[in-house]
Amino acid sequence: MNRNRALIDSILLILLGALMVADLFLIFRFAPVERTMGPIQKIFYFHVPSAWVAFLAFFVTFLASVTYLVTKRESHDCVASSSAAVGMLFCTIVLVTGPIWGKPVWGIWWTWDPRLTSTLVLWFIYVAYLLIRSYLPGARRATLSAVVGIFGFLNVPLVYMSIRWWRTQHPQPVLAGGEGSGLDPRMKLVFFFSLFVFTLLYYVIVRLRVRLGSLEARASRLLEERRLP
Amino acid sequence: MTGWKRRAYAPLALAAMALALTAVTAVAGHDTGSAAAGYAGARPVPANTSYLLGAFLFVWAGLWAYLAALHKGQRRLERMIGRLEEKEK
Repeated sequence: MNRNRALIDSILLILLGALMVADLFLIFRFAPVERTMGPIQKIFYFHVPSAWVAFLAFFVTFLASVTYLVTKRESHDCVASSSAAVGMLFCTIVLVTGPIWGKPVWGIWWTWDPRLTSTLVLWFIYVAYLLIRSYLPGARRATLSAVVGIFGFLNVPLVYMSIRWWRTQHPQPVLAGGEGSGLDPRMKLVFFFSLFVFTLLYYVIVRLRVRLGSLEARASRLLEERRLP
Repeated sequence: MTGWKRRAYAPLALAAMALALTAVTAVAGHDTGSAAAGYAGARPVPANTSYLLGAFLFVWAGLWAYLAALHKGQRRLERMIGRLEEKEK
């Protein structure tokens, strides 16, 4: 069972590595250069999939937190915390790549626009989540972080809808954004490929972290038993 | 923090540095005029694509190295658990 799992993990790692290189090739060689913004627009293929993965990760944290509170199973807490950590990583990528794009296109690194501000608030919520996990002991940690994981997720729809509800400097959605929105077919292909690679990356990281969490728990139990007379 | 965890954070730091590098290189060569405000008047100088590609390559490499470190940590823990269970018997 363990050997099969290790083999699947190795295959996933190799496949992911190949897909990541292919994604870079498609972004920089296949996707056309945007007429107005030039090559800096290519950040879009990293920025938007990162945002998608962050939202997905926080949604998984939300679901796992709810099921943890209902069942009190440790594995659900492990999924919630692993997913939140990965969500934080991708939310950080969103917050870093956004200003890198904003400086040449808007002329400023940052503005207190509803989309940008709500994303920053989301990031702080999950910083709090991870701090709770670092500083509180045992079952209290799992319960309290589950509550933060549930309430923290309420900010995600707000972040997503912010560009629709308020007038913002952030670009309007290019996909499913209504009249006047849309992408060149080659850009759309590269965008969806990037989205797939980022989602697979999220899955593999969470898979490895969850497995590692359960192995750590098993190892500590075994070590504890050895210490007992 | 265990050894494998420390090693896993190193590639993440590398990825963060690569992003900072992107910021500098992508912005270098651009004027400060906003493209949205009037592209015809203030055409931005294209970003250095090879630097941008290099920085993203570093980010990918950092993330992949993080995954590999997690995978290696998992294998080491499995071996350790195997040894502990054998001693139990």
